[in-house]
Formats: sequence, C-alpha cells, structure tokens
Amino acid sequence: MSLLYAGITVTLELLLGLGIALLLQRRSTVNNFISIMLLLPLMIAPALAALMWKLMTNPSFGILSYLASLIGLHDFRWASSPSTALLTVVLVDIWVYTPFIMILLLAGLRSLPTQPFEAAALDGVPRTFVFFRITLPMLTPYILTATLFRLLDSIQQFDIIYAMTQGGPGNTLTVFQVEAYLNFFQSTNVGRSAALMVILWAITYFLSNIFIKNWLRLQERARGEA
Amino acid sequence: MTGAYMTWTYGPAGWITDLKEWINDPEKTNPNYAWDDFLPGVKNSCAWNGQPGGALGSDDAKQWCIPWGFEQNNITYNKTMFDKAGVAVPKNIDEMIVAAAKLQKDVGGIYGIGVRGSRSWATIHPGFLSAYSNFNEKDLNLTDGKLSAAMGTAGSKAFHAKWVQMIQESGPKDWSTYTWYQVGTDLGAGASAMIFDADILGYFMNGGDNKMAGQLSYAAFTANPDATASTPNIWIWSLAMSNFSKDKDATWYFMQWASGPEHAIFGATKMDFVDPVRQSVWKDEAFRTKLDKYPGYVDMFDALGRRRLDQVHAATAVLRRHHRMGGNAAEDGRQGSACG
Repeated sequence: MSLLYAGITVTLELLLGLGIALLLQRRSTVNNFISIMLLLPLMIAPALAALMWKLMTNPSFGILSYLASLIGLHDFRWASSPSTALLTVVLVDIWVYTPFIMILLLAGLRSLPTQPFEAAALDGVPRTFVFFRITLPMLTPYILTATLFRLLDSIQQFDIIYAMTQGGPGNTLTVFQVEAYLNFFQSTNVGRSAALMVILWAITYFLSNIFIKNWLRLQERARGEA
Repeated sequence: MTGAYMTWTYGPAGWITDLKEWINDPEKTNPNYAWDDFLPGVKNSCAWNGQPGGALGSDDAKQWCIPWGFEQNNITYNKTMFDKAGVAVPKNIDEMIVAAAKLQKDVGGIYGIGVRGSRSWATIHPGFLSAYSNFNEKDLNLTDGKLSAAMGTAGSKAFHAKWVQMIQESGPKDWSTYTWYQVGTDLGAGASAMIFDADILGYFMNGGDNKMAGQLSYAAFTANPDATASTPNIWIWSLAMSNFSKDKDATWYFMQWASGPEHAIFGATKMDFVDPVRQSVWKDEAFRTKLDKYPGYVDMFDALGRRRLDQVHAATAVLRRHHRMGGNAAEDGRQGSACG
C-alpha cells in the first residue's frame, strides 16, 4: 500500500507540477503572484490540511460532497468507503505537495539556458518537439530531484492518512508508518514496529540510491562529461 | 494521566510503580485521603496481580494507578427530537434500531444514532462492547491458560448483524472514520438524535455554545431484552507514577492532591468534573442538584453505576490476560486494550 500510494501521488504530482510550472514559466507579475499563491497549501501542516479535507468531504455537510452531488455523485463516501479512501487521501496529498514539485520545476525551467530555445525558434521547430527534445531532457535532473524528495516523503506518509482515516476503513490504508505507529503506541508491540521501520528504511535507501545515481549521471551528461 | 487499560500493560512491563506502598504509608498519605471512599469497582480496575486471569483488586494485586474520573457508556438523546418524532427512549437493541430509523425519517436532516467507527481500539469499548457484553457474549475465552476466539458464536453473529444494521440504516454516513469527538459534536450540533457513547461526552454537549445545549437527556441502556440490568463499559481516567521518577515521594504528594477529596468535591461542584470516583461526592447534595440540568444523569449512576462498577472486574479478567500478552499481534493488542 505504501508503494502504491507513493507511486500514484508522485506520478500525479509530477504531471500536475510540471504542467503548472510550464504555464507559469514566463516571468511576469501575474505569474509570480500565482506561483506564490499556489505555494500556500505547502505552508499548512499536512495533518491540519487532512482535517480540513475531512470536513470538506463529510458526506452529510461537506462542501465537496455537495459539489459531488451536483455532478450526480450522490452519497459519495470519500475516505469512509474502502473503494474511495485511497482516492481521497491521494487528493489531499496532491493538494498539499503539488506546489512543492511545481516550485522546484519552475526554478529549473527558469534557469535553463536560453540559446537552445532561441535556435529552435529561429529554425521554426514545433513546440511539442522543443518540449520533448529540449525542455524535458534539460529539465530531467530537476525532475529527478523533485521525484526523489517526494518519493521518500510519500513512501513514509503518516500524517495525512492517520488524520483522515487512521489507516482504515478496515485495513485499507495501513501504510508502513501507520502500521508501525499502531503497533508501537496502541499494542506496545515495539519489536514489530521497529522491524517495520527497518524494512521501510531499506526500501527508501534502495530507491534513493537508484535516484541519486541517475541524478549524478544526468548531471555529468548535462556538463558534457558523459 | 492514563487509563486503567494502559496500566495493565505498563505495570507488568515495569514502567509504572505499585502505589500500595505509598497509599498504606501513614507518613506519606494524609489520613483524610480516604482511600476507602473510592468506588470499589473503579479502584479495583486499577489493581491487578499481573497473573493471567487474576481478578482485579485481589489481595496480591498491585495498585498500578489511582482512579481520577470515569465514564460509563450509555445513551444521551435529544429530547426535543424524540418528542417531535414521538419516539420513546429505546430499552433494548431492537427498539434502538427502530427508534433511530424513525427519528432519522421523521425529524429530517439528521441521522438517528451516533456510534464510533474509526479504525481504533476506542471504537470497540464504548457502545459496542457495552451492548455486546449485555448479551453475555465475550471476545475471548480463557481455557487452561490459553486464549481462544469467542466471537464466532451464533449469539455474537446475531448481535453483530443488528449492530451493523443499525449503523447502515441510521448511523453517520462516514461512520468508519468516526471517533468520539465526531460522535459528540454531531449530537451537540443537532446533526444526530442520540449517541451510545460516554456519558460525559453527552454531558459536555448539553452546555457551552452547543446548538442543542439544554435539550439533551440521559438514560441507561440494556441492549439485551432478556437482561435484568445494563452493562455499560467504563473508561477510567487514572493517575500513575513512572517507575523512573527521580522523586517518587513528590510525585505521590501531587497525585494525592489531584485525587484527594477536596479536589474531587471542588471539581464536581464548582467545575465540570462529572463522574467523580469518590462515593462521598456522589452523595453530595450540591453535586446532585447541579446535575438537575442534565435529566437522567444521576439516575443513570444510581440505577446501575454502583452495581456495575463493583462488578467490573468480572468482565475484565480474561481481557487483562490478553492485554498482558499484547505483544503477540497488533489486532489482538488493540482488542485487549479496548475491553475493560
């Protein structure tokens, strides 16, 4: 469940963050203002954001439940149903952390050298070609950095999930951290809790190694050393 | 501050101190402390000999904590809504199912009954366990020192079916995320017609800025139509002493003050320290008069409180054994800690 959660959230946040960063790439007062405003969710403690979303998704009086009913989703149970609980916590995660990826990629986009883009413009290269052959390859080290940070963080997710569902309904969202927390603090099962944490450490160590090695390789390539 | 359930784990693990040494020491304990004034069942629930199946409060039991306040799990209901729907206070689980559904239908814009549902031990011990044990059903059996599951009986299954039916028909829509404060605040805000939960949760919803303040009443609940009395599970707010305390005497003096008769009567009569653990406070006229604004609250205690509280150890003997073995599995440990 931890890997699934991390995979879904990081992928969606990356796509959304990249899209927003591309939209805000051009320096202007409006774009700068929007990028600052979009950072606001990142300044809220994730646990508080989760509680806020818990209220908004309350099936009886939540504003999102009301909006869902307007598009025909009546009696939508959000985090309280096993079939939609993952979707709900993923939504909260995206709301909180997409700005993090957005700001990293925006900084990356704005720091790219302008010459390749000017040359492409002079040659009349189509925009999609420019994006896939110039922008994306040059931006890859930034994407990897953002992905690494978010992957390590989301695979250790606790606050959003615990605040919204305590790992439920049933065992639906018992990710590593939640399971370890419940073992330690509710069952006083210190050994099992510690074992879970060691496994989680091993997974994050393995994944971060892959990312860092690739990141270094791409850095070397960007400098023309590989 | 801890709970009796927790001390059954903390005590045998050596994390907290047996308080008998201080309670029985006239040099360190004020003669007016009146240890005998504590409700026996509540006091005994904080004392266990650490032996699987050992009775709470036995002669060889260690006093792991001092009870400070308690909660019993019964019905708090919105009398205005009940009157509007023409519904009587339910007397058993079948009546509760029907009453909750009728209230939900006739009052409109509310749900019938609030109970907890989040993935936590705290979901099990209030309404659910109070009703479940009223049918003489158990979660575990202790045979020859070994535990075995006891929830697969026909009686247990029948009760579970009714409990689930009640929640599906008349519970909160997002029941599976509900814990105590959601159950309570919904009642206070007029979003539900009744709760089967801690009495003090209902108490606090009947005052302050709550929309339904002054409209709530209280009643004991006997889920089993064949039972002669209700069996509300209790939670005990308790004070324990760390075994690692550098100055245990000082710790004891503080605990003595906090659980002493003066503090208890002051809290009960001047503040909102309801469900005190001292018998003398429950006899205090000022305290009882103060609770007149909470119809049924004192009656709930008088009718069943003492009887049940004296007998609480019987229901918990097996579960303490289980709790002692809490390291076996997460699910087991939670269940063990939930029952008391």
